[in-house]
Amino acid sequence: MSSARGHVDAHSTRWIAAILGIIIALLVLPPVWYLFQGSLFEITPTGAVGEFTFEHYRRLLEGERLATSAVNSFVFAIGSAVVALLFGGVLAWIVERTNAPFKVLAYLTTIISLGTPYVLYVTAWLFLLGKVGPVNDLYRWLTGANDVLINVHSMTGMVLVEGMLWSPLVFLLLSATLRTSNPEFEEAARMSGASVWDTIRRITIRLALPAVMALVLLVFIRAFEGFEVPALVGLPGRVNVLTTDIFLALKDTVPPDAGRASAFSVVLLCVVAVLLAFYNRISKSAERFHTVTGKGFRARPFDLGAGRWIAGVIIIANFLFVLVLPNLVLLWASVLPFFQAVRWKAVGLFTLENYKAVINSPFYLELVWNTLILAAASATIVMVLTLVVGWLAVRRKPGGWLLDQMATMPLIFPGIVLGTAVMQIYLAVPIPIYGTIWIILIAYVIRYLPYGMRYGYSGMLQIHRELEEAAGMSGAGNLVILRRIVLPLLAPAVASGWLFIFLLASRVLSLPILLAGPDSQTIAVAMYDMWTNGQGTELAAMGLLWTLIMTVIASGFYFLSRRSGAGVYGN
Amino acid sequence: MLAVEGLTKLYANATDAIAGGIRDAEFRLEPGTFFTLLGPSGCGKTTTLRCIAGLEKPDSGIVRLGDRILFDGAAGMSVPMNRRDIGMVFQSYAIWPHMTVFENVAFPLQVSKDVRYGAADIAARVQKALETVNLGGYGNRPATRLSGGEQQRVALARAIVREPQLLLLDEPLSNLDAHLREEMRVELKRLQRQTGITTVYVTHDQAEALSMSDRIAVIEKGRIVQMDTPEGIYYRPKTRFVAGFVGVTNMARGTAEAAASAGAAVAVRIETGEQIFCQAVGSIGASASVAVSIRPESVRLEKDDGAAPDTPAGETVLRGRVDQASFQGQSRRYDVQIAGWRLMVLADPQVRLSPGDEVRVRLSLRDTIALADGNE
Amino acid sequence: MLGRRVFLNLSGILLAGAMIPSALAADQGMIAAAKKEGEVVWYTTLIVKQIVRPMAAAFEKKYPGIKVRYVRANATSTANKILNEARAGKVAADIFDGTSTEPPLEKAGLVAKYVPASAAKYPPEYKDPQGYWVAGNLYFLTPGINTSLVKKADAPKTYEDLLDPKWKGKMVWNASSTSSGPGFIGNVLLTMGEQKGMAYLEKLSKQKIVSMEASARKVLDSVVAGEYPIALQIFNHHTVISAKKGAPVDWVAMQPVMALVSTVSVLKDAPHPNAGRLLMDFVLSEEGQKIFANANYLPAMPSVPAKVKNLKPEAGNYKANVVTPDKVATDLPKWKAIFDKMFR
Repeated sequence: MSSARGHVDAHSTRWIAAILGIIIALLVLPPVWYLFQGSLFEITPTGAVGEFTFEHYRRLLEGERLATSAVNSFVFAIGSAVVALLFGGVLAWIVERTNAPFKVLAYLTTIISLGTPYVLYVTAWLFLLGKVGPVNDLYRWLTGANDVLINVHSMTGMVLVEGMLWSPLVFLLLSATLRTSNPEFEEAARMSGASVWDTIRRITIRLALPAVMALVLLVFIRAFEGFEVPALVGLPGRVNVLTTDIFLALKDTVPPDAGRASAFSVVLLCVVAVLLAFYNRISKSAERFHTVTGKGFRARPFDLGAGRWIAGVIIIANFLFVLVLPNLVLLWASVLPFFQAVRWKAVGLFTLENYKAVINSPFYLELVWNTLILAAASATIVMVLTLVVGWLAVRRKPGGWLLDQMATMPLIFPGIVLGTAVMQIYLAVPIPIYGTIWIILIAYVIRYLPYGMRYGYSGMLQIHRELEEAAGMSGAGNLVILRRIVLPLLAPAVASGWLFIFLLASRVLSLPILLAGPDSQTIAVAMYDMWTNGQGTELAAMGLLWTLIMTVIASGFYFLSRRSGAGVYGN
Repeated sequence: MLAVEGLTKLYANATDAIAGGIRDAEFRLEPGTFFTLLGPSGCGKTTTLRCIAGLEKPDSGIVRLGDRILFDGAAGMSVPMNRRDIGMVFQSYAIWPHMTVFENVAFPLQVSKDVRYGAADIAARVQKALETVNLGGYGNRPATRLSGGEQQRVALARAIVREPQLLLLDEPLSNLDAHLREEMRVELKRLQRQTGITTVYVTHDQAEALSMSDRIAVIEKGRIVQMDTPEGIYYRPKTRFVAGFVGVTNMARGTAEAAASAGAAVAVRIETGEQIFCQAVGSIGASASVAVSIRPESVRLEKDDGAAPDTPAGETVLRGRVDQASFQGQSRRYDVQIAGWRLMVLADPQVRLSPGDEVRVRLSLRDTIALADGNE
Repeated sequence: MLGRRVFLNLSGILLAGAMIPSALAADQGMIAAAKKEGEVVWYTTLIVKQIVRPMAAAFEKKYPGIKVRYVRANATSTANKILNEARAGKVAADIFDGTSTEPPLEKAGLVAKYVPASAAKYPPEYKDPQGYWVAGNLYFLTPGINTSLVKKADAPKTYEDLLDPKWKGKMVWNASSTSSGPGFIGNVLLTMGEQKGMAYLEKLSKQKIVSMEASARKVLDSVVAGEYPIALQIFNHHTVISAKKGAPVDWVAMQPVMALVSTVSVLKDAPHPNAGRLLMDFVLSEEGQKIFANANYLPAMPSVPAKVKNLKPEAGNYKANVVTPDKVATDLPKWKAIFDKMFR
């Protein structure tokens, strides 16, 4: 009786693994194949595969374009990582380890910025740092000069904006690290006679180094494959990076140069894969140093004395720069018919036209709808798939390891590369979903599988296998165990994973920009179009309304993740 | 010499109610003393230690080490922790994982501002400290390749390498397994005697406290309730709490039949009716309600042959019946029913009795203590 | 030449007269079919806020039950999108417009021949002799200036004026398509001739003109916002639209002005062929052309004047150089190459 049951269960598990294996393989393998094919074969305008050729790569190497873009990509990524670390890292240390005031503002900033689409954020920064934006305006007013303090459409501008974009994430991840690390390491140094500065220099920084390095590398990878800032900030200033080169090959050439884009994509893919391998090694050694104290003694914050007010000013500055100023400048833009420098006389132009247009146009409602449906559907599909894969992998069921590897693989795809690949696949195969919301959904599912795995897998690790074994001994089969035991216990991890993917999917631009059709525009794509075709003030109005909705959802994510304690992957 | 006067550090919880801390701690240690702060978790012992270390800022009080004032609340002065010349071993050991054993131990010498050490000097001192903790030759080992016991020794070496005036140990044995803990107890005591550093030790383990200390302060709910030698704490607990927390004891409530001054004998009628001769801790008024504490290992049992027992002056003899008997290796435990009273007795394993045996129970005056009930 | 023009015009009038009844009849059948299709998809390069929305609203009002869906992108993206969709076997658009959208699509065999009845009212240079497109509106590409930063009197008026060192780094243009640096180069080469033109461009390249990867509208917006005093190769009617809202902006008739036609065409495999044709009819009708005019765009139909009359060469008294889509299609790569070499 019991052996028969065991046999049936092993059988059903194998079936589940096989079906999942096919689904995931169909999702993640074709993009790689098509990219390599596209880069190594002539593809005719009608889509037929022609002769094998190295021509696309040869063209890449011709001229200085590839070298310039690659160098720009590296400089951009390194700069952004450093800026993000400076802003987010210092803030995390102040909030977690000192007695500075106004700490709650740092969290508020982070929550709201989690829900803001990058495109909107970037445009806000373009308004802020633009030639007539408040920053340069103030500079001219203070110095009497008539040039600019910062030309935003430059590498400096790109690095600054991208760095600001990532600083909340750095803050979030680093403050978690600081919160769970052992304060006695620092206290021991102080008791050994070290000054505060010596302690920070020789202990705090050195101990945090692996975690910080991992974080820097994470931001580096993200910036390296980032699209929003290079497209909106870099392109107008003609600072090209690899991702925008791919974009231009597909969007700015008639007919689209898929060969060139594929070759660029393969280059980018390889670089990211190498970087990720590095990242994994570093973050593993970061965990090794992570000794947790036995005692529940909360770390006594460093007493900064009068310096705590300086630290408080830094917190307020971050609050102003990351949250208040961008939103204020959006608000200013949203009530103007066209953007004007912040001047009293511009107040006479105030109008609610932009808001009226946004609220009255069915187009925007459709955008909201598309975006929310895409985000919710991709989050649901990903979480269902990765929940089962996570279970199979953690419990070492047959096929579990392979499924885990496959589901994690899409991490190597930068958004724009995945967009390129998915586009080519569905142009080539006779499944009529090009230009529909379905093709975007497929791209999202591929893209976010690894993020789902992160939650599903680590959530599973926390469930002691005896809980399942007890259910098995009570006579439950595998599916029943999954449904009655695993799922309810995993609910918090699944919920925060779902929300995280939902948030990412609702604001991503690099994926849908190549895939969106007339009926499948998303908020982020529409924002990009509006910005490039000069509807910046209407964009501001729509963006503010959208941010309002997303902030509510982001707060939900924040509180759930605090409860379930799952880590954040980044993006 | 360490002197602590009127040390107070209170924590408030979310509703502003007092939630832990220490009040009015007061003690003075002669050089070379091994002093233990003993109490249950949350009693304030670690707070006291951290206040001495400078890791916490006391609300008020004075901390003096030798001829230096480390903290004076009234004068508003506080020596920063890194200038206090105190070595400390943390509960988690806090061995820096990014350094080798040598680097960990050398650190206090390298960062020293008051005295500058040359490289050769540092090497020699580290070598000496490592040898003191029996870790000579471990210098190049990375800190991540150490067992729990080895980490503990490195932490000790690091704490003593500067030859500080004071050594603070915060539950250093709690993360070790039982066998290692026994060994380290002896080791620590040897080390302390060898170096002669005044030591303040925090633990919730009464066995550790009793076996290692020269003096013990028992802390209950933020107050030092008794400070004494281990024997004094064990045999002459001043309160019911101390009696119950340190070692195992039989406790009974009763009424004093006459007034008695501290240390004098007093007859107590306990609730179940028996009259017991006790030694008074503190003065006791006539008819005052008191608690009687009897250590189980101080009770003597003998088979009741029905003959009239000899009763030396001050000794109490009661009749009872063995209810349960169990062998515990070093001793035998008997639960004896005396009329309505149940007494736990730890007897020499040689004394063999069976459940149902009628016994005479002898309580010596020296080991039977009456505590005025006010000393809760 | 003159004779042919007259003949064409005459025949146009004759043809139009002859076709009115049948066109009307066809209209009725087409309207019914279009209503059955229920919607029309318009890939447009026009600015949504200014022209697409009012046009769609008027169309939907006139033909209730036919919803207009639109996707806005620049000419390049629009062409690529349609090419991709055709490759995937799923053309989503019915009708498209743009200054350089049509030639690559025609080359790929995706464009349907369709000549609406109202085409008769357009001069020959505004429609394709083979019937693939008709001009919907005209663009005149001129410099635009921020009037708070540059007084009209001080503004550069000739091509030579642009070489003045005081404008170094103060001029901005778009980097792609025709309403852009490459378009400007094309106009110089077409009007000055290769040799003189290249010599001029050589000098102009020293002026460090800022290139933006954004539409000409966005380029002008940066001038409105005061980021740059002068934009080159922007649409002159945009300045009027913005000035009406209070923006400190104006245009300069720097002659000869480049004139582009934005063409309207329907697609061969359009999912809503009747609705597409109906929308094309509407855009090119007097009614549709008036919507262009009302929005301060420049209608192609000669009988519909611009709202601000001097925007068009006839009333504005300036010389325009009309560049047809085909000319653009053949020469743009060359202009782009020069642009990339000298101005990037």
